[in-house]
Amino acid sequence: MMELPIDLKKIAALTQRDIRNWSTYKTAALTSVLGTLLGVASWGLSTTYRNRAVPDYNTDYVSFLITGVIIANLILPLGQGVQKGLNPQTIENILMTGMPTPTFVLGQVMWPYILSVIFLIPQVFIGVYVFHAHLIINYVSLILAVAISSAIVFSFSVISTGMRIVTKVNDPFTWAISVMSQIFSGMTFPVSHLNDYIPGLSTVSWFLPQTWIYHIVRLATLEDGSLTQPDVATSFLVTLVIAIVLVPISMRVFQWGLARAKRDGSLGHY
Amino acid sequence: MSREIPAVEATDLVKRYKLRNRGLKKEFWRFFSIVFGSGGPTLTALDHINLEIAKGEVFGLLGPNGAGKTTLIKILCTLVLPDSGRAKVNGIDVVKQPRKAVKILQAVLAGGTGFERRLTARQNLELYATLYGIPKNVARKKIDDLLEFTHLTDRADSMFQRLSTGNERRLLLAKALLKDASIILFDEPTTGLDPIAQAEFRDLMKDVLSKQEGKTIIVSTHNLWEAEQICDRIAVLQKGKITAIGTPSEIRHAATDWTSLSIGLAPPVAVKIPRVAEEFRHIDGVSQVELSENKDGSLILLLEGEKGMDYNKVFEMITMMKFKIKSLEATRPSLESAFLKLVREDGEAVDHAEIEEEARINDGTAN
Repeated sequence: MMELPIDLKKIAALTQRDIRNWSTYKTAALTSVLGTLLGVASWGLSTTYRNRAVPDYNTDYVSFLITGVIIANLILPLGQGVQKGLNPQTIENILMTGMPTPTFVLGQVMWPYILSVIFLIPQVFIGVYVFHAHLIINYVSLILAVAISSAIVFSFSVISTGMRIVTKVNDPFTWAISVMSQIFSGMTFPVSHLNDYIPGLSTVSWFLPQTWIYHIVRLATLEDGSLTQPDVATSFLVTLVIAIVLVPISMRVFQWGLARAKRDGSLGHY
Repeated sequence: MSREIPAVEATDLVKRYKLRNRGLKKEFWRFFSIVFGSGGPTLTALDHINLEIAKGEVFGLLGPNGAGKTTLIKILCTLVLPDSGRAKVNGIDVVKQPRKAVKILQAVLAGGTGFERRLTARQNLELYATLYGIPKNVARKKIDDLLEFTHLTDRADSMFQRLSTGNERRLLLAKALLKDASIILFDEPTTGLDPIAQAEFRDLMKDVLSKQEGKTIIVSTHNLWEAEQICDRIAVLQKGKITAIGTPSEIRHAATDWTSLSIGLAPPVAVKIPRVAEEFRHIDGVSQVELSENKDGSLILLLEGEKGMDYNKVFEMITMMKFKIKSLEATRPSLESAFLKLVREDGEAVDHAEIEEEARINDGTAN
């Protein structure tokens, strides 16, 4: 049999190393494949909605899209902050300080959150002055919307942390939240557009907390939604209830993850 | 009179790690296990450990790789949960009250240092001082003192990633001393240190932390000489069980019956070496006899045998042969020989670290 040149053997060895590594992280491998497919679906849905008016919020598509992107940029780093902080070099040492769970998670996410708020300013500026997004902001509603949304995203972060302590590199929860956000939460197109493909599909969206986050922030920024309006107040109330339910659940998930890793002896692993 | 609460108390402590084979067929059971948290074969890391360590004691944990030393330390640090049994530090249950327990202990673990690579040595210590709840003005002074104590003042403003391995260990020590813990656990503390730093570290543990400050020190080490130098008591772990516990001297003598006598003799007349040697070989407990003649005609008699060697008979024989004793030296068994005997008696050690890793991968923790 013909021998491969030595350099080709080395390239093959390095490739084999990467395949072996990749296949070790089974969930990550599976979710990256599925994520690619679902990403195409998300872009397809966004593109087919392009440049239509958005009667749900009495606005145009550019304004709708820009608020969606801004909200996404504001809340996504919270989850990422936790993930970055969860390396085996620090977690055991941090836990040895006896820090309470909320303090630990808030400490991990605070800087990414501050950074995203700072970056929000040029994003809004570009959206308004370059792409002519029409923002009609009700500041009281906006502050409340951001507060409630932060509580929900904080809960997501805590759940994600709890899962990731067990699964290490990738957890199904964070992946599901991310994928669901892209397709069902109305980040880049109104959720009612889903019904154009499968009638009634948008109902799924309203079971997702992130849909409510996008909804109440858009009510506060696109159509001057005031809490004195019954439909706006109802939306805020539903989102608040979701936050109230999610916060304690997230703490339980974190405690479960921590106990699970301590039982396995895998707390310091990666 | 009430008994003083021990610094560390382990009662019937058991820890088993799950062990599963890789392969697609096992994936279903892996998922099942993640959801329900049970099932599958296990490997025993700690097997009904009972242990008491007094306050102020320097206690050594010896054992081959995978004997369960790190598991025991991590249980005490609240980083691993035992399957059954109890572990207490200063009377506080580490499972029931983990946050209270970590307040009174500090650990220098063999793995991650917990330092941020792009922060300076001082910034890292400042971070941990805040996390330990030390007031800023107290922390500043303490950090300066600790940097000086660990000879790191010159490197205080260097990024952690620029420190040498030895300096990383010194900084780790500074971090350990930052918190005023009454119990300090060291997992392989002198690994990576040069001989001078190792000696300083040993002095620190024995003289400063234990004798002067009354702290309880628990050291896991492979360095038998070091253990003998600093530890008041030692436990030898093998396959998750304590096979011997006591002072280094007790361990040596409990583990090995071997003893050795070297006697310098002056014979009255020239003797036939093989015949004399044969006489000593018949004494109870003597297993080996070496007799050699020096140039000046004196003899060196080397007797090796069990602890119960009949010394009276040895000296009776010497008197009977009208030998004069010129010198006498008894050689005690070393801790190393005792350790090797204890470990080998129980067969080959199981590499728990490797098994933990295996269990982790197969248990869904490396998804």
